[in-house]
Amino acid sequence: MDQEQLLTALKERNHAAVRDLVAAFGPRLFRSACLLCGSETDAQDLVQETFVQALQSAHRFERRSSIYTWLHAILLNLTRHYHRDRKRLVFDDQLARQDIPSCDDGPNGLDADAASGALIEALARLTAPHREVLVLRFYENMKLGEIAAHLGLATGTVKSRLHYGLAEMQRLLPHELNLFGVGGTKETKT
Amino acid sequence: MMNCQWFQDKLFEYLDGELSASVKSEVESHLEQCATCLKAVQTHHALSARFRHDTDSLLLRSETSWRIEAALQRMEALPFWRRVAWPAAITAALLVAAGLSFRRPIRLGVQSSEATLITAPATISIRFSSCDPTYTFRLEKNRVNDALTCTPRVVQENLSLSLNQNQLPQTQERKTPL
Repeated sequence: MDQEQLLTALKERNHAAVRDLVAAFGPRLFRSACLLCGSETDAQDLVQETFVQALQSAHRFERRSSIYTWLHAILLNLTRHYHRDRKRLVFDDQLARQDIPSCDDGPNGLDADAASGALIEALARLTAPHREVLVLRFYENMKLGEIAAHLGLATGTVKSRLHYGLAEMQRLLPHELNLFGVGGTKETKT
Repeated sequence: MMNCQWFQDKLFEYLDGELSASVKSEVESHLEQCATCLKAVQTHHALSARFRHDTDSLLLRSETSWRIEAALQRMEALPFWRRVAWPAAITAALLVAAGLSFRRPIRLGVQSSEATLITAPATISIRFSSCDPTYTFRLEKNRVNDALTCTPRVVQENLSLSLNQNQLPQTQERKTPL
């Protein structure tokens, strides 16, 4: 089924088309959601909500981008709401460090998979604008201009966020990355 | 003459294949001489592979498709009147409240033993107060201690009314205390 046929079927709420849509774009969208929100559990819900919103607004899709880019734009919007809502949860880590619980307990079972990846952990420590450009660049393999169009930003802003985000990633993962620092090219001594 | 900082500025355009032939050749000759910049290009490719590799094991729940279809069916099953009932009720209530407030003079108080009827003042002060909840938790040994605190927020606005006194309805005052 090509993009046109799929869209027509989606507008008619064809259940087979919904299944095709989820099978075609769900896995990639889900991995992107994991990188953007840092939690596998929440990413499942975000992807589900992305598809529901997409199907509700399928008649408004203007075909100016691919179906995946359209779905990803909805996901980005939902992820921003997700991060905004989570700001109300304040983790008092200074107090927690005073009395660290036994390691026997292991990580939180819900997010064990997400917590296992150093890359996902490092991304979670960046600000949302820097995390977004890194995910679009390195996971979605978008070009500078495509990222700028997707986020509604100037190309220069995207480039600057990429450089800053990469420098932060290098700081957070010093043994795994060898990229430019903020001040320019540097030799990394190991 | 190209240096590392100049190359850093052109890195993404170079990787995207969006440089002119002359600039691209300048970049490539710089890369032949500069091991650090070449390493940065290689790391860029490696980072893309790392993003893919680290997410390979993440799998979307098999029931997601079913859940989406179920959510859509629930929405379709909702009758039209239930989808519009709340917005319609709130709009109607606001319209009625606005209509009443402009048609009726406001009784503000009692002087001596009789009610005094006065018209609405030129400025009305409206005070909104709300509470922003913040959920705080901390780990203490094997227990989680949590607390829900509220930050009060008060917004006060003075609204000016441009009512013409002559346009107010002439009501018969009842000489009864409020």
